[in-house]
Amino acid sequence: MFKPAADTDTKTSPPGLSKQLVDCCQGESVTVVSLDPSLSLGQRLRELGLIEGSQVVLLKLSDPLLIMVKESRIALDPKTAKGIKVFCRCINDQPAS
Amino acid sequence: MLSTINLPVTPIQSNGKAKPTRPLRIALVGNPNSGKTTLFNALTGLNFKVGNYPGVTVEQREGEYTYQNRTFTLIDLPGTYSLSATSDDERIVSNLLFGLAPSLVPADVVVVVVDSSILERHLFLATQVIDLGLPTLVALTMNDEASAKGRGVDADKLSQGLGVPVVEVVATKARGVDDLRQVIARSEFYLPPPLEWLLPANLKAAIASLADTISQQRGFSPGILKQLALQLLLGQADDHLAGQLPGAAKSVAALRTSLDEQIENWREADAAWRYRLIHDVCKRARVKSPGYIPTKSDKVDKVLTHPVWGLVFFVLVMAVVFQSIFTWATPSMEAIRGFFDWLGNAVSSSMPEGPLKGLLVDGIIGGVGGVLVFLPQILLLFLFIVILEDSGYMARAAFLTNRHMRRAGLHGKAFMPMLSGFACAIPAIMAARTISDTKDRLATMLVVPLVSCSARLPVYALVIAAFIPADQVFRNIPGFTFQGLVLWGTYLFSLAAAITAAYILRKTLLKGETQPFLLELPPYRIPYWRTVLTTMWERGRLFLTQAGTIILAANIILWFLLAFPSQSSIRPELQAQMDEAQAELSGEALETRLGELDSLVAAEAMGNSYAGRMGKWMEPALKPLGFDWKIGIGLIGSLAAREVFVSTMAVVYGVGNSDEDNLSLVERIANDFSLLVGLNIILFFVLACQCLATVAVFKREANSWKWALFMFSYMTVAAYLASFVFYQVASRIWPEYA
Repeated sequence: MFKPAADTDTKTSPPGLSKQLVDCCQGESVTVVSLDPSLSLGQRLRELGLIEGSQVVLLKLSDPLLIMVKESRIALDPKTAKGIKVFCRCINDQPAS
Repeated sequence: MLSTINLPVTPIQSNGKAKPTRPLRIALVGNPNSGKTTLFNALTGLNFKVGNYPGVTVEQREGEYTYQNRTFTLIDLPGTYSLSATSDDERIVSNLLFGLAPSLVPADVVVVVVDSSILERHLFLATQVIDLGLPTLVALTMNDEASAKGRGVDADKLSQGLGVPVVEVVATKARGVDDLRQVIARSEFYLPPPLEWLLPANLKAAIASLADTISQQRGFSPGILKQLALQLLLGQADDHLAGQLPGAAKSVAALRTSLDEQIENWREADAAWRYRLIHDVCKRARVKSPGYIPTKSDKVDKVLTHPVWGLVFFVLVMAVVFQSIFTWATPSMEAIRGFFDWLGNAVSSSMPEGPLKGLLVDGIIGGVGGVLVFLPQILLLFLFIVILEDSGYMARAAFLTNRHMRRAGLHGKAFMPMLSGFACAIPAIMAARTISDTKDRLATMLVVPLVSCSARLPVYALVIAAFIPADQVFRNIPGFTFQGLVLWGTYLFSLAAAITAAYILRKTLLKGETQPFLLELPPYRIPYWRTVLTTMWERGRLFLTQAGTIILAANIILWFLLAFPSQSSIRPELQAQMDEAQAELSGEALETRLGELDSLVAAEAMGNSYAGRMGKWMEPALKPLGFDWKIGIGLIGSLAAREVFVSTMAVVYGVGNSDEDNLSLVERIANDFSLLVGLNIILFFVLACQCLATVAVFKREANSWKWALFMFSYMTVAAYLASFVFYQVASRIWPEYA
């Protein structure tokens, strides 16, 4: 049985540049920084793979949003998406309602 | 490579137990849409039964198969993403695996069904199950699909990485199924080597301390104890686990506070190490991910989840579904109708006159036959629902409707129960279990019975067939008839009524925020015909057995109410008229006159029967709705089940007409009712809760008679008021149709 390697995927996002997932652009690949501790579905989101360092593709910036994480497509409402801090390069001028 | 049995490289440990003689219990566990049910069907054939888990209404499917002269019991557990359960369905899985519920027989072996195309996410649950220390193996599904995309999983390497056997199966082609049976037969002697939890020391210490507290209250195996302690720490304050282990609650609270002070973001540590392990295992078991490449599903979703085109497609799908129910079902309905007519005539001609003949022909054959005739329509509706679910479109429909649902104060997931409500309110109310928030769930449950179920379909079909012409809507487009259009409109109206009721409820009795929306959109897949047909048949059979028994009982009672007290003599005035006719008329004129008088005699007899008296007693209240006492009897009968309305009307009209009168029920209703009365029957049935089984299920699901009776009352009041207003207004505007 394998033992996992050292944590190499995490902590790639420079502090201060993180945004809410809803502020990123459609089609962009973003990196999860943190989840708001007050999110009621926080534990389930972590189990679905939304953990620090995870790559997430923002497939649809609509209401609900559609993201790809760990190869699966997950729909979530903008309120939940606001509690997901990510590192993204693109600045979205028209966030999801 | 297909059909390979991959055993772990680490030596298989024997737990030293003697081979049990009772059937080995195999639990099938997996994420939703992992291909679990298809695998269950492939393993068991059709040898399974469907029931409910004790105390709850989560569907329980247990099947059996024999391999090498030994019987195996297979349990198809509800789909779950994790052992941290957030709904009743998921709670069944964790309760069974943790051995928490005494009513659930524990499993000897766990088969985790893992979808190759969403490997990492599916392995998360697998690592949790491996932790439990039960004999575990992985069934790898959809690897043919993943291989076709160049990302096939090497089952050997996956097996080495996880330390459990991995068997590749293509259940739809029966490939690997026998290998799986073979590994299962040996698996009771395998125990997976424990995974090393790479967690911060403080968190490990907290888990160990909590495990110690739990073990002082109840005995668990070390693996289960550790996972239980972890889930207790990570769970919400009102977690179901905390409820089942009340002695641990104090320790949990203290440990959480201490962890909050010591470790930043400690709640993420477990998911983080699991995904690191999974990432490493996957790196060896398949080629590296090329990053995001849009799949076919993503391309299709660009249209089907589009806010405009997606909704247009959704409305079209629904239109086709309801149109087909009317058009495609007709030939088989005619065949069933013909069979029951033949049976009724055959029994009638071979029996002497008397109450037994009446019971058999009018009560049993006529009543049950009158409802069974709608089975093709019901099966078709279930067929569409299963196809929509298994193709992945149902999740897209929820995605599209979420915004609109939320405006009405309903959770996006409420769409699933709502759509299931088109089939039957009973499974639909049960489907609301996927909504974890109590208020969201209650709101959904309260409005779901307003969505037109298949049991209302016979009533709609009867009235529509009587009053609406079967003409084409568009001369050049075949298939779309006015009848289909009215039916479609009726269903849309019922949906609108449900949404309005939800809005009012969420603004008044059930004030509060709706729960966040989180839903997986599985890849589109062509539904596997065997699973579709099995599920359709299973649901159809449940409907049939439920409807069959209730209807039979209701019909016998109704026949009794209609036939008794029996009238031995004819009123002297009518007897005199008969004598007069026989003296003065002859030939056809005599027969016509006697037929008319016979109808009058029968109508009088029914008017004096128990049912007639009840209907007449209700008539003053029903009159403002345009309903007479015959409809009153139908409404009483339909409380047993809505479709009983049709069979009641068949009995009422069968008794009320002479034997020579060969008019069908549709023709009789068309002659007897006005158009507005017909439409008002539809309106009443859309809104009223004419189903005691729904009330009973509601009570069981909500665990409250208060809410169950509230649901029944608000719907009945709404139906009465709406029908009252409609008839009073419409009969003044269009008196010629009243």
